[in-house]
Amino acid sequence: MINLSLIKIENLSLTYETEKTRFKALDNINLEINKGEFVCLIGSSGCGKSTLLGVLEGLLSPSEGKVYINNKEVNGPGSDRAVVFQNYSLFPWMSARKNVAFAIVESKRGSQKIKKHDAYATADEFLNKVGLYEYRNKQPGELSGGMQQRVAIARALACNPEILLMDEPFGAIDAKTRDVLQQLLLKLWEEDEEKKTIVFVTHDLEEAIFLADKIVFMEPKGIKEVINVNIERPRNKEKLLSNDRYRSLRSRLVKMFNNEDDNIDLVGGAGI
Amino acid sequence: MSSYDEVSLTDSEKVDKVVPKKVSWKYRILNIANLFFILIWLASLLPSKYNEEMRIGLKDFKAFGVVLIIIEVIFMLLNRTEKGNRTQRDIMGFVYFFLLIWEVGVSRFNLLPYAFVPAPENVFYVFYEDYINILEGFKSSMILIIFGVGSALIFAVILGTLVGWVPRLTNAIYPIVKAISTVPPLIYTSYIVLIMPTFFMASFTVVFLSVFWGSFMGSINNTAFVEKKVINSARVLNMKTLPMLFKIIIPFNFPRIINNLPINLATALMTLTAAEMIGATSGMGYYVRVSLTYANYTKAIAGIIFIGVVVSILNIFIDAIKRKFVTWQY
Repeated sequence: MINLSLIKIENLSLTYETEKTRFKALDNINLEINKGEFVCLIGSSGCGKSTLLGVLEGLLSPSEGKVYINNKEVNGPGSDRAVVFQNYSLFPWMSARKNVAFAIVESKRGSQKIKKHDAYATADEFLNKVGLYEYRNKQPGELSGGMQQRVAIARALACNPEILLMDEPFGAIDAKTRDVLQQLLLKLWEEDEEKKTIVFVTHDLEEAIFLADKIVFMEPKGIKEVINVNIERPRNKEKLLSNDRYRSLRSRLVKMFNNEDDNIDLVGGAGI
Repeated sequence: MSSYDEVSLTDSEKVDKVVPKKVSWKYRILNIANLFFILIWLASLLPSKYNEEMRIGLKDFKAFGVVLIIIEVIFMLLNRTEKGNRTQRDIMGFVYFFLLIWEVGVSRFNLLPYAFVPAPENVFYVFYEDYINILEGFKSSMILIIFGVGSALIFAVILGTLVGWVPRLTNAIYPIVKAISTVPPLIYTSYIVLIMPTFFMASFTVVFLSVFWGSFMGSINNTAFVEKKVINSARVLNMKTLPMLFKIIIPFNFPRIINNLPINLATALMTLTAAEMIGATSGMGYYVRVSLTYANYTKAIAGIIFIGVVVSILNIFIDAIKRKFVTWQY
């Protein structure tokens, strides 16, 4: 039997320890994500979504268990992964163009020598794709939150990773801009011939159903259920509202969230 | 063909640039600062008691007049935009008011103890009469300031960033640096002048130390407080320690380094002039010291004003660097 899974998480546990406290954020998690899949992690605050993403990013080390990508154990960040954070995390002293080009050069350093000229050409191409070519010489401080996240998406995609890890990237953006950016992300993902694997953390149920192939519903410290979305692509937000599958999925997820709220401990977001 | 709607920028994403409004000529000319400016010129036409009572007499108004014109031209050039316009007018108002009181109180009515308070005409005439010595002192001090402050900053930033990046080093070194940096450099200035083989070496060491410890401690602190999101953004690019320090941490802290530069320069100049007053044979501090020794208060005040102007010009220069290279704030 052919194993399609690109990401394999085996018996993963992670405990945050300080001198006085000890908090288990993830407990014995097992999950497989296939190549080219769009997976959304949802769940209440503090259930460990961002911690799990932190382990996939290589920024956090598991206390127990292992994470494999392409059958190789994850021991730290790698050029096979790119990350888009929630809190506008561009380098503030660089222009949008330089932010993207810098990420291209640095992420490939050691494995591939990329000329600055080529990096800038790729940066321009991706900034054009996200509608920011005109603004390419602006610094993050001169851009709105939505524009900064467009640059962050361009930066992540321009590095041409196999996996895109997104930690509530549209969480701090107004509803209208969020809709536009969701569509932009799907457009870029679907247009890509070598479809990237995306792991996307969100609180927003509609966002998860609209974007994902598979929704991983997390409860504190673990996974409650993995749900296949099974809604045809390309998706349209307005049409989706009248889709039976969408409505049943949404009500199911709302119920799961409500049950979760009744059971949840006051653990708080662990953060990375 | 994609089925998605147009993904161009939404209205809330777009940002507009604010263009500063220019001030009309009317407001640039008709203001309280310029009223005092005119009053100084009018006051210069009054008869001078100073000229009659003082042995050395009153020098020609020309040198003072040239200084006033230079100040006014700079004021008019700076006073072009609405933002900061009132503040600039207020500052200039105070400057001209002080010069007016000086001119009227000393040059015209000789109200202050004449032995200690020279007339502005005489003070500003020194810049014309003794410019060679002043410029020599300036050159000598500036060489020490530029090399001393420059090398101290380079060492402090690199070492401080490295120490701040490694928690074990931070824990071990920070308390020691904190203790050393609280000792004012003026305390050990005379000792360093004494033990160093040449005055240049002594002054360089004094300037270096006056800037180094504070900046070193500042760099350790700055590194510890670099925003985590910026570090994480760099870490996911798989950056190693040295590129991380030189391409991320130091550039991130650059505005803080530049913002502290005026304080560093002021400290360095203060320490240097103190050192020059002890054992130097040139420099701006030496010029003031020699003038005071020979009770030539006119030259001493001219030297003090010159040091003040040099510091102000350096600060303006730093501001210009800041505007050019530090176009962002965290």
